[in-house]
Amino acid sequence: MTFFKTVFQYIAAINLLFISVASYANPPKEIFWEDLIPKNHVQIDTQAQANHEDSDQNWVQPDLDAPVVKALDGQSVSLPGFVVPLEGDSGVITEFLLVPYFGACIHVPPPPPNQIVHVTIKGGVPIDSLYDAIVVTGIISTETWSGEIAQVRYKMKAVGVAPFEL
Amino acid sequence: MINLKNVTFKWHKNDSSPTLNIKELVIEKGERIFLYGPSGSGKSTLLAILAGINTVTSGEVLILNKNLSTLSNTTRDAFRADHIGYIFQNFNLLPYLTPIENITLGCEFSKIRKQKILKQSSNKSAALQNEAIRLLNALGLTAQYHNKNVAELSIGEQQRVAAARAFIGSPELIIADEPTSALDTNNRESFIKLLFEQAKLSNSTLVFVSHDETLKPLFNRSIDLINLQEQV
Amino acid sequence: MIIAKLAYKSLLNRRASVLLTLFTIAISVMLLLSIERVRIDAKSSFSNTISGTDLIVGARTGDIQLLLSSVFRIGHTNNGVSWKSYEYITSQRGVKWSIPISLGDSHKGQAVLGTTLDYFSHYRFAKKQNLTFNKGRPFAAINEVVLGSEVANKLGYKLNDSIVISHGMGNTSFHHHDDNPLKVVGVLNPTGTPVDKTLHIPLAAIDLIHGGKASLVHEHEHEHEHEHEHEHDEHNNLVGHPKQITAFLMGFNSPLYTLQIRRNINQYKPEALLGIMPTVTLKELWEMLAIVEKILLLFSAVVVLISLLGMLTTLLANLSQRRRELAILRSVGARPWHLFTLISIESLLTTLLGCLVGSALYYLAIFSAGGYLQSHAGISVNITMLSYYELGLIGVIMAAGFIIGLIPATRAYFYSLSDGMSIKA
Repeated sequence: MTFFKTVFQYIAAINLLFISVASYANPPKEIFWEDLIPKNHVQIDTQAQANHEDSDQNWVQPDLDAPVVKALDGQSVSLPGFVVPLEGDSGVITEFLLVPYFGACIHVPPPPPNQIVHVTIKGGVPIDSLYDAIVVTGIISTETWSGEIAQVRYKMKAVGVAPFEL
Repeated sequence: MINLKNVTFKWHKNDSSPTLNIKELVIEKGERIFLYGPSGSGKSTLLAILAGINTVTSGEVLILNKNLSTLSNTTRDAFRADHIGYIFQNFNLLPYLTPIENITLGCEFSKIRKQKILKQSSNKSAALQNEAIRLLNALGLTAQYHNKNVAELSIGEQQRVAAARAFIGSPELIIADEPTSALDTNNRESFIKLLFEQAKLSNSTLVFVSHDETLKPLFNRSIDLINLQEQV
Repeated sequence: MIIAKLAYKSLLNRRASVLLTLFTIAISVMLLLSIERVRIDAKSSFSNTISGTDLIVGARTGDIQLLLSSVFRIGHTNNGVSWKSYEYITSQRGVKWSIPISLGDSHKGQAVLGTTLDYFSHYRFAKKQNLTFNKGRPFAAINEVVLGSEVANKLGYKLNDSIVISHGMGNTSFHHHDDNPLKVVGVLNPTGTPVDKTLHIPLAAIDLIHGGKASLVHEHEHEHEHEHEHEHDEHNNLVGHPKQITAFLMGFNSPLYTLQIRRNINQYKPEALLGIMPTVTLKELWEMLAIVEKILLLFSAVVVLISLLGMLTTLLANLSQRRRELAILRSVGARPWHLFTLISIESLLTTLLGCLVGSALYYLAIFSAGGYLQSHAGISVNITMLSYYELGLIGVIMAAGFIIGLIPATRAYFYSLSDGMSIKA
């Protein structure tokens, strides 16, 4: 079983190689977290939101008003951040959230939805330590999707992950 | 066949007197030489030089018209494999090979000697083995000895296997370093006779080294190593 | 080639001591490969146990403890989640599904899990696979039980068998719920996870087992009258009115919600709760264990090194006895380099054979211990061809054996140079 997995990883690696070669034609745009917030939007500090906890608040989305930058949709970008793994196995992580800072300690509330990117990467990527920042490169998309609450969010199909050099 | 001229040998450059100091030594092809030298006379050193293990400090060593002193280490090793068969005093045999395998070892490092045997034989794959068997039989060791464990052979039997190894592939020069010293007196003469037989058959020159003067009469020429060296 | 043949014959001649060296190397190779394999497969088994779950919520104990006890059935929590909190949290917007679970009981040493039908539809493992049934169906009445594949195999249960649950999680118990036997209605397919070792009963049955005798009679009557009419009622029957559960699993409409909801749960004032993201916590567990893994590897490597040094000792001790042999070989025209190669090949051959025998022993080991590991630790070890990693390990061992063999080989080289054809004692 592991034999096939390694073969698959080899094929995935070769695919990644091809894709990254192809993306030479369109070098990924380096973006940062501020770029994910529309220019004239005043982002409500989620810290302030946290103070309203006792009230029967909307648990899920304190900041409903967290618009995305539609212009980024479909672009090839690279964005540094920290990994919050969602799916994977003992070797690689195939799906994760990319966030601007590490840790969910009690003092700092989690980032608002336009400061989180839901990343999937085919074949997965090994992540050594969650403490280390990485740079994710791929096609970012903005999805409008309605569940109970109409939502817009960032997703990314990543092609490569590299350690972030300070 | 062998020609030494103005040969000196020092183990270390700074030695005051050389271990060997030979003005001239000539041995013709086909001769059977009795080289007499008590211990300390430098005979081991001379043998090492003749076999190409060591090079002389000064002078010329010509064997088969090749000047050994000008050859590289590797070339001298190859030369020895091709043209010289060597017999030790005892413990000649590798304990993990059969007598036949010990004998064929004699030509494993020499294409020339192997070729000589293969040329004469129709059965190429078993040629070496068959030649080893032929030599064993010629030296008086019948079939039961051929694959016996060498540890079970008597000294006399071991020496005869060693002789077969020295002769296989008919090398031009046979050097025997005190091969009979470990044998009891009765067997010495018969062993030497066997050597003479084989040397004749393969047209080899025989240099027989010993400190046992009683064997001298058997040879047609003897050289005294001490007399050979210049008085320093 | 003559040197190779000589090396082989030489080893054959000394086979008693060579075999000893060979076995030492073989055992160390087996040890290294086995330890690495169990380590990797354990990690893999654990990682494959849960998938597609955004959050696990339990009493505020510790991240790893909650993960281990709720998903892996290792250890236990000494506190639970109140039903009230569960209902409140899972009613929040954005929550797509939830599975409450109740642990603490056992049957013949296997864990009993009280849960709802959502377990069978929403629980996933190993890359988002659902649970599937080998035989039968999910429970539909309060006295029905669904078995994991290991439970059915090990205890030999079939559909319609009757089972009695004990209280507590020990191997046995003195507190049986004899009055409320349960009927086996389904057996799950193997998953390679603790699910296989678990008996699944309706949440309401847990309550029942702990003393709701009257309710059972009531339930039975209810069932007979309204068999397939009131599905809602049926669901309620299965859930019952628990006051507390051990933990619950949640899935959201979008994973983006997870971070915020987790925070809210961790700061939930009415009750001390803890929410964990399973993959994150598992990663934290691995990072904690990383040092242990490295130490294990180091130990195994040292054992291999010791066995190779044993080979070195034997070769060196042997070498002084073989100086005569070297002189003989020189006399027939072997170069010092040939002798170097001879000794080198001997050590290489010994190491190679050691690795081959070691690999065979390794397969023997995982073949025989695999069953034990599966049933006692939930680690599924697959019998496959040597992976690239394992081949790499063997390659390193071969290289080490070769390098160590260079020592006696070099000695032989210099012996032959200095000795020539005579041994200067």
